[in-house]
Amino acid sequence: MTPIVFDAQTESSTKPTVVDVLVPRWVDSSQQASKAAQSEDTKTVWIIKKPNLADCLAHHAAEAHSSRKTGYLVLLLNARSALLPPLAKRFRAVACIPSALPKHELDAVLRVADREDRFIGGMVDEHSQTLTLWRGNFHPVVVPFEAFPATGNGVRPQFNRFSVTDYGRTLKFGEYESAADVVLFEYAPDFRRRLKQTRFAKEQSLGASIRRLRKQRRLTLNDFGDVDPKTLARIEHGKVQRPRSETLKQIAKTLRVPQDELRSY
Amino acid sequence: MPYVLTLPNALKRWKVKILDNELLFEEPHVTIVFKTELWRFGLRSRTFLDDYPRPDKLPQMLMAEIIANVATLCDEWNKRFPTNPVSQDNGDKAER
Repeated sequence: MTPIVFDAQTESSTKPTVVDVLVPRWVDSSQQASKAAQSEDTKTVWIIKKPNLADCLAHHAAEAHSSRKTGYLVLLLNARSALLPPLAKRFRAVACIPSALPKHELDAVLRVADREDRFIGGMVDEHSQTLTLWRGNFHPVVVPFEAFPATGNGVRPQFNRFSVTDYGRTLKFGEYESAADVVLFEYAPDFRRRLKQTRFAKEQSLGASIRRLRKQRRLTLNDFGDVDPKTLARIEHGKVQRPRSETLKQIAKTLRVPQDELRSY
Repeated sequence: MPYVLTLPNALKRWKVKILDNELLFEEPHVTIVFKTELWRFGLRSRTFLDDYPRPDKLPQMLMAEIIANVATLCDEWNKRFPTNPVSQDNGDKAER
């Protein structure tokens, strides 16, 4: 048996660079809603669970005369679309996440340095078959349902049972669980760039990017139409200096990414 | 459904699991979660995939549980991700 090695495989750290600590504050009364609307503290995250308090806050936000935006707002509810303009006028970001981390995990994630690599919650839209996720840095990521394929043993995600767990590192769809990294790699270019500089530092070539995407799409070398499998293997291993434009076009099409973005993976 | 390794009571705040959706160009691995921290332990190389958080923070008892159950963990990974099985060095041998 291979011995256990406790050292990591790479020298470089995957630790993200975000260091600002946010302070979560739960809004439980109309007085607190008023205070949130008047606050000038840009590091506070105001969290609201009750619809009537969201209405109250929107009213106070509309009244506020300050042109400066204050902290962040988390609405743990299905907010009406009419609520969002007054709230967006006052807050740096408004995350509408009816499915969120449990309270103690949300509070913890907002305080950790790598919160940008975690999800605090999201919202499923069955009509458009999309999931909107909010990262801990308050950047939204919109993901099609296809990002969560069935497993080899036939387990499929149940999107109507969506939740976030493991302090924002796992997305849960009923009995199906997905690593947050999968979504960030595919749909968050900043995360992908950081991964290329750290985890994939030794594999920066175009061929390596193509190979990563092919693996992630669960495709074989034979799945690329007119592209000869041997040619594709040579490209992946860096043995073709300048692949033909038509070949790259076909590869990008099969991998479902714009040709000029292939290298970013 | 993720495979979750059953752990003794002394480790009840730890989770060791194989998820249903992972980055498939990376080494097959088990995910270890404790509070806000998460480690990935490679099932091929038996090394940690990341240097943060530090692997030496893990209790030896936990690693002993993982090693004692490594065959099951490999089987569970292979069931979920047949295109990137533990047994292949780089997942491409069959295509060469």
